[in-house]
Order: sequence, then C-alpha cells, then structure tokens
Amino acid sequence: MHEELRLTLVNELRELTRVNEAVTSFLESRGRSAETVYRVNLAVEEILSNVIRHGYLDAGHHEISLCVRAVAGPIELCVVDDGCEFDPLTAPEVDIHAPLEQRRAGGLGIHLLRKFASALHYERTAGENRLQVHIN
Amino acid sequence: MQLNVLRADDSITHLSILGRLDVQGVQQISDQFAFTATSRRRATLVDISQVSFIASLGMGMFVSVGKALQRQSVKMVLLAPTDMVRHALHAAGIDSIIPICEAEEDALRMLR
Repeated sequence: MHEELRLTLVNELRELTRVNEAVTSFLESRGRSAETVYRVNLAVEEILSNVIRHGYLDAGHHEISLCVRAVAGPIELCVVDDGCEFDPLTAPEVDIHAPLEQRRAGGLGIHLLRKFASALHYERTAGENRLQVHIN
Repeated sequence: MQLNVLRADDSITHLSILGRLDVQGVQQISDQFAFTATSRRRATLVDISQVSFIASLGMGMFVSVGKALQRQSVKMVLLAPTDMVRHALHAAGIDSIIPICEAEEDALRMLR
C-alpha cells in the first residue's frame, strides 16, 4: 500500500472538491480517524484556496502540487506552487478575542492552519513556494 | 449545499444549512444566506447540525451576517454543530462572538 498521495491540480477552486475526495479516501483507507481526516482536509482547503485566490497576479494556467504522507506519526503535507512569494508563518495573527463588531470576515484561514498544525515549515526556492505541514 | 427556511414569522427567522461550508459551498449559499437572514430583521436561528465541514470562508460568512444583524440590534445563534465543526468554530473564536447552542429550546430562549 502506498504511503504517499501525490496530486497535481490547476489554479481553479473547483479542483478542491476532487482534492478533498482523494485526500479523504487516502486517509480513511489507512485507518486514520475522522478527526484527523477533518483536520487534514481543513489544512489542505485553507492552503490551496489561499494560493488559488491570492497567489497569482495573472489569469493564466498554473499547476500546484500536493503531497500527503501517512507514515507513523503525524500526517505530512507538502504544497508547492509558483505563485507570489508568501510565507504564512509571517502573516499577522488575527485577534480571535475581539468583539463581533471588530471582527473581520477574512483572515481566519492562516489562524486555523497554525492552530491545527503541529509543525509548519516554509521556504521559497527557484521561484516556488514550498509549504510543509504536520497534522496530528 | 442547501439553505432551507424552516420558520419565518414575526419573532424569528429559523434557517438550516446542509452540506460542506468549504469554498465551493460558501460560494453557493452566501448571498442567499445573507439576504434571507438580514432582510427580515428578526432574531435568527441557524441549524448547522447537517454541516459536515466548515472552513474559514464559512466562518467568515457567519461573522459577516452576525455583524449585519448586530447593526440591526438582532441576535443570531448557531444550533447543534457536530463535534468537529464545533471544534473548528472554537479554534477560530467564533463561539465567543456568536452563541452556539445544542438544544433548540435553549437557542430560542437566548434569542428572546
């Protein structure tokens, strides 16, 4: 049984449904809990939707690669894209204790990613963003 | 993705949402949800027991509508999320600004 799922998608939001189904099937077939499947899907959704919605200055076709590894220990995700340089580790934290009238509708994605990841590593190499995430 | 109006009278707007509140799901219902909730200017109960997944855009939809209702001096309560949806909402601090109830009678009491 392969311990690694590799997917390539284009920069269109409709791709996320296919990715979610593939990731869910991959993790469930390896006996991962519903909670882990939810956390991984949330991280994948937040990372990929962020890249697709904000990562590109042109309207052209771009490929994004996703790798999910399910070996012993945490699930390992790696997303590589050729979008604008963006390090989610340096993004400002949202104030989740602010009252409703001061809350913004956006900005929660990176907060959730940080919250559910046990490790995050970002690097920019050869014009590509490479984000590695561990999810318990 | 589905949005249902379960009750719409002088005292309350009771809605239910079914499906995944991911990017695609939010794109499908956000305008309808915002219009249905805010145009009636009534206390709003949103049953999310059939929401299987929520991502940040879905939470943002609730924040946006919650703020609009607050400007109308009207409350919104979320009803009966699954454990995992509740956990995600808590991680984003949504439960500190929009009340979440398990039982409908508690929600209705909170909305009075």
